[in-house]
Amino acid sequence: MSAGHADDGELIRLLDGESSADERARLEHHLATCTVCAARREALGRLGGAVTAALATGDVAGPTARRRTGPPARAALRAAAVLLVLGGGVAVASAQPVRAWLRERWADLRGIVVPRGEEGGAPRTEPSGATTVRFVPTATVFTIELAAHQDGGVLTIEVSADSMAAATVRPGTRGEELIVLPAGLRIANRPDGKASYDVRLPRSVAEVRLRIAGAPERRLVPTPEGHLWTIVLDERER
Amino acid sequence: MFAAHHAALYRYISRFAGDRDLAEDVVQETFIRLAEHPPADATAIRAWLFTVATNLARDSLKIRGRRRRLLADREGWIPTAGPAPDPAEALERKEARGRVRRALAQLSEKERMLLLMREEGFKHREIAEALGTTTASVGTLIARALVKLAGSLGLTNPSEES
Repeated sequence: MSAGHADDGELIRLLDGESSADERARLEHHLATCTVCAARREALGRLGGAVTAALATGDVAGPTARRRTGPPARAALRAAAVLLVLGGGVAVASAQPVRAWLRERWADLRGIVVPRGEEGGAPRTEPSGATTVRFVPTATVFTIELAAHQDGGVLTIEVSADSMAAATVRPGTRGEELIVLPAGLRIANRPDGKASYDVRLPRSVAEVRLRIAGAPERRLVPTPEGHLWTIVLDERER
Repeated sequence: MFAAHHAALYRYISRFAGDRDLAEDVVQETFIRLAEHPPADATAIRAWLFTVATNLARDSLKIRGRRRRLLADREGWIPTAGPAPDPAEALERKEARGRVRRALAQLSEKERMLLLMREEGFKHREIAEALGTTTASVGTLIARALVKLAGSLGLTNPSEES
């Protein structure tokens, strides 16, 4: 205290519940009799509330808040990263720590990729050899990254009325990996691959960012009705 | 882990950096780092996440600033199709974000961290550790930053009330 009054730091500590027992008792005793300090404590409290409200007004909706479809209890869990290794059941026992961590938690994370009660379950391999994983994007901007151009194959990106997203790799013979991340999809492919990929996204995705082999990012903005892009992965054919 | 911290971390970084795309990237990278190199002290993961994310955001802001300057004359090539949905709402939200972002930008980085970590419910001790200051000084620093931000936002200053 200075000049017999509580200073702002003491009042903030009191408001935040950070005062020691002694300090709290002393301040509360003082505030009971000092109208100046009591008014300042109230004013600081109101100011804090006003700033909180202003910050919330200025917030863009977070990934969780922005998504209004899907089971709310799973909203935050959706964004945990999930790794799928496709093509011949490639082992990941010797993979990097993050992959091992994700593999260990696959059973828990599977519910994020395919919410319980919805069609699906584990990634599905169809008779044609195509493998599909369904998931729920957590942001309005969705990034797709490919590690490399390929000897063949195409990438199609479709924004449609579906509420869920899906990624399919066909036929997936080079150990391609689809890594589903909170706001994107990484396709770990190889230059000698010829696989094609289909990515379907819900209309909640307002922008798709595409990066291939470290080239400058392309921004794809769908129309409100949906959109379909086809990207040739063989640079020689582009 | 992710469920407990993701929303708050995203909110904090998007406010801190004033850029939601950057915030999404930073939060994603922060959780990947958590998976790869978790902190030794498992009881301090929340503070670790916010500190790492703050550092990543700081670095990203520097890199993006340089990149934007370099690419400023190449923006025309970016393909787009169709207008953004609901332009009126988008404009209103943009103005609100801009107002708050400009006010936050007038604070020092330390002041922004103080107020935004307080908003996320961190203890003064945790804020002090993140800022490299003493716990006892945090209350005073918060009060100053609060008054400064309120002034930038056009809110009433308690000094003028009492």
